[in-house]
Amino acid sequence: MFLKNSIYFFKSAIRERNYLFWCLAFPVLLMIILITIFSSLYEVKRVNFDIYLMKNESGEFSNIIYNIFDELSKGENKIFNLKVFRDISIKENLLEDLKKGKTNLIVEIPEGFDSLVISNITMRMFGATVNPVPIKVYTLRHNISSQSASMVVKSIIDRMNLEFVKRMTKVNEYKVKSEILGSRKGFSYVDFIFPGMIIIAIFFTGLFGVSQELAWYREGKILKRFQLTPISPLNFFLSYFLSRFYFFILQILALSFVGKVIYKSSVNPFSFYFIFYVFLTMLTISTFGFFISALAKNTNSANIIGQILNFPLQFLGGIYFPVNDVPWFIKWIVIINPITYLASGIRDTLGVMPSPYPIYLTILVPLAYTLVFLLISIKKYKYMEVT
Amino acid sequence: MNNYKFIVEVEDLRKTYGNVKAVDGVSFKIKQGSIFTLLGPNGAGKTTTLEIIEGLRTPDSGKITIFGKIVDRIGREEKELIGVSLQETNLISHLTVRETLSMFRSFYKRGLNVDDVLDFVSLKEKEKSYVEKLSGGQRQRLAIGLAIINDPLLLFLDEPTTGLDPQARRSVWDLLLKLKAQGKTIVLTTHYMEEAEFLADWVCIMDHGKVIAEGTPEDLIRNIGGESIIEVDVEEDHEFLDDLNKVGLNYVFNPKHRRLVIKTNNVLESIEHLLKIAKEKGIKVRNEIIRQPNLEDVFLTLTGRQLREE
Repeated sequence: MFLKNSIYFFKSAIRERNYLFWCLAFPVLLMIILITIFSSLYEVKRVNFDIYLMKNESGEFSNIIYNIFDELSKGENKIFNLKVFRDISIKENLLEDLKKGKTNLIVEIPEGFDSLVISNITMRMFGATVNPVPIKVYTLRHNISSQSASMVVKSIIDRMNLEFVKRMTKVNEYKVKSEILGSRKGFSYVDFIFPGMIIIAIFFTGLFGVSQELAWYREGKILKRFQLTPISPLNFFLSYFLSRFYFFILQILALSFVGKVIYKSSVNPFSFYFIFYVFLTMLTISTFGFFISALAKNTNSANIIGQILNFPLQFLGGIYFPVNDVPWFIKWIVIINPITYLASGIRDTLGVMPSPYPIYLTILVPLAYTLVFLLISIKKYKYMEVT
Repeated sequence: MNNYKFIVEVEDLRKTYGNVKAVDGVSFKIKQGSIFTLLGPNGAGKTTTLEIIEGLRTPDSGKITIFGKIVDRIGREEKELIGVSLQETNLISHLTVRETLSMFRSFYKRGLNVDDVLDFVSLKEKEKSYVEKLSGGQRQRLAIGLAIINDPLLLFLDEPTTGLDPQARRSVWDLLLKLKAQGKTIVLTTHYMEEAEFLADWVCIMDHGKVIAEGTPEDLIRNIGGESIIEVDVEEDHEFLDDLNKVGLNYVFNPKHRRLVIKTNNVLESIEHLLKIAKEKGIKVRNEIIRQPNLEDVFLTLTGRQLREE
């Protein structure tokens, strides 16, 4: 009987415009807006600097510098768009280009550079103190690109100097073994937000939909009317929660369409982990809504409780952005928030972002909440308003 | 169908909320196939009494026998045989009339065909309308439809016509008479005396949680004495009222509405006395009505108040 009744409850939910908007259309819109705004911010773009290299020499050391810049101007990962000029007479024209923004920076290897370097090396060998050979770099003040290019060029020159010194003094190199932590693939905001939005859609339905609806069923004496029929409370609640599960599936399908089809998320909504955490979320959030309706005296107070809990739970659950480094005075909300564990667990198991908590906690904490919510709700929920 | 002399028997039912005695020793018996009416003003204890019998509330004490069986609280078996329409009918708003009836039909093992119920309550044209789009009268007819969906032996209808316009009220009355003709027992609460008079086989008048009178409407009216009622508006004047007493007029004065109700077997003589005394005391007499006594007069005689004062 409850299967048939769950269809009636589901029909009622999908016919209600407010419910459809806030629990289905709104999460989809929110996901689209968030991806539109934040995916470009989180995307690492390759930066190319336009550089002019004025090379008046063709000796060994000036060629080393040229070769380095040339190497950094090739391939997919190139840093520079390099143009080399050998005619010193057009220097003024090149400086004019810099002022007009046609290039970000000009590097000038001055006349006599190679002989000066050789002379410096020889004198250093005899223990003399020498002044470094200058390489002129022209940048444009107040131009971020130009200043950034200057920093990159400076770090390259520093690195070259270090190599020279090391070769001359035979300093042992430190070998660095690097290990990449974090996701197994590049960070994608779509992948980050997609499972989070499914959690938040279910969260909206539980926090506002389930809680207010169950409070209204009591306040509007609908439950009282059901109580007069042979349908048992267990049957009623099974039917009702099953209908919300149908609705959750509708939400997941809608968000999956946006995430997978439109934004090409690499998250697989049909994977075992995904389905497992979504099911865990459904259980936790449904019982959370039930819990609120059990505490609330009427629909209005269910709404107020929902509004009070909404912001801290929603924004400090790590749905929209990582919350590991929030200040201590709000950290406790993150820690006690079941959303935190659900979001962390689902993202970790899907390989989107590692969970700061052990995986078993991301399952046990929501399950513990589910149990507590359910037990309190069963004890506190009244079929009829207290007279 | 089982035959019971009394389908419901209530004995010394009591229910208290804090210091308020909502039901204070109520006893009555309901004959099978009759329309039994609990009549009384708001707060008289009608709904609480009904909800105790329906199993929604637990009495502090008292005995309820229903379908010949003493019950502490009615169970699934009894619920299969009972139909209820609550005082306020809210239903799942985004289901259609047909879906609502089908849903409720699925709660019961046996019952009527949804189409037959739609025809019976004249909602066939509205079967695809959402419940929230129905008018008050249509909603009340749907509530009755839901109450009869399991083809019950016993129907509890709590103020089924409150808030309805006269036409809608009349159509609900017609439905109830048709149900009675089918042999259903109907327990009705109302604060409309004309409803009780029109429908009831037996009236139980309640006030402050107690049954203050019961019987057929005709017997109750006859028992208050007087073949006619004279109603007039007058100013409150103790000497004037004393003089009415002295000439033997049997009256009730409602100071709130300044309405004087005189029961009499001799209309002409009573009017003569009334006008003479009023003239002597300089009292203006307005809005005179001469009519047959009704259940409102029964309540007024018993309590000194009118049914719809509160």
